Amino acid sequence: MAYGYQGQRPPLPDRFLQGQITVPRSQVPRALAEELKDAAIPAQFVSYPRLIGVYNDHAADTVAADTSEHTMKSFKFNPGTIYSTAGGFKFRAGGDCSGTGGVKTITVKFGGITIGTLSVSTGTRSWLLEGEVWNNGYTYQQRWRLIAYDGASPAIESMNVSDDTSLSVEML
Amino acid sequence: MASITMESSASAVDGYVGREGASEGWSSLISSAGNNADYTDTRVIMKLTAYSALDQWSAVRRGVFMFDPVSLPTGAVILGGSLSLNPQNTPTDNFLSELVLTNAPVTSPTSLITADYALLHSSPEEYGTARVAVSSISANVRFEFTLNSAALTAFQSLYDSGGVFKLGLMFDWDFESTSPVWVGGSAEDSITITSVSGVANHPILTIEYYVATDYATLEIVGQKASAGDTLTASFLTVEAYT
Repeated sequence: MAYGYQGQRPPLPDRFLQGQITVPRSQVPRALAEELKDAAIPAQFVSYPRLIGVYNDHAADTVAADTSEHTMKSFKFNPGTIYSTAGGFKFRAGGDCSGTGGVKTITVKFGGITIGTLSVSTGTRSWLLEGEVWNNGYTYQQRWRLIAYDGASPAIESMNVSDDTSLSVEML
Repeated sequence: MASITMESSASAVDGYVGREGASEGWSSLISSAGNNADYTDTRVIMKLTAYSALDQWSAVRRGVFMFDPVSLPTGAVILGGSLSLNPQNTPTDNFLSELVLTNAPVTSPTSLITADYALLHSSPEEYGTARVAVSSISANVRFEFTLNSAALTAFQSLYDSGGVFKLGLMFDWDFESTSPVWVGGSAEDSITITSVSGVANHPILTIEYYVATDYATLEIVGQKASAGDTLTASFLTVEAYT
């Protein structure tokens, strides 16, 4: 098999040497490859948490023409996605609003629990939400951080996170 | 792990069932039909009363506390819990009694009837990790039962099936079907527990839980003050780590 692997081609980070993208790792002597691998990732950095992957949804979702709550975006973690007690996720969501009928609210929920709410003042605005969530030694206990941009002054808003003791969702 | 508290309110029923006015041996008292039930009073009065004749007994009551778990989020997995009760009086401890937290297989989740007296004694199961000695109870000082694994398993089942959480309260002599030592006519252990809605001294059930994996969904939810305005989410990006 090409590259010395059985089955499918290995992922890019495993096929190429850092800084020498024309040379697959499998084509250099094994001892040298291991040495380079070790040098690239020192032992103290190879533990959890580590990136699994990135989910992207760039479709526009517009809230219906009423005053009810509507889920604009959602992402469901399949069982087993985050299995370490040090795991977690980061997320970003953004969009726009317009109209002078009053404040718009964008609420972050996880497991049906409200984590925090951004209020965007009336008028034409753009908004951006960023957050990160980390398991706190248990797969069912997390710590949260939220920050937001609402197109108004001050430009960056810290968002109050609801009572931390109420924010526990199994991420296993 | 999150927790919520459930208090006496329109969705909760607290009360007692009892057999009273008798003159009979202990075994007959606890195994015969009930003749008193009350869930409308603002107090749950536990009572254990001796009759004037030697080894005869006139009354025993069994408490019931029910809570609607509607406030638990969808997919909750119950990990722990406790029941906190507020006594109005410092009881006399004539019989060296303990209070036992139990199951409460009563007829209805919204009321109590005299037939529930027998149901509470039909197959009593202890729901607390420890009992509370009557001698340790002081007026207006809350005492607490921690739910044991049997209670948590039962509550999870009730929650999953849309049922109401039910807890019983019995004297240990009643729970164990063992007669206390008769100490004299009309001697009585009586504990009055407040069950008033909307005040600080009502019964409180605390449930600790987490939300299970299948419901671990991140949502970005929008709402407008005016239907004619627009609100759009253009993207969501999630980076997962494990």
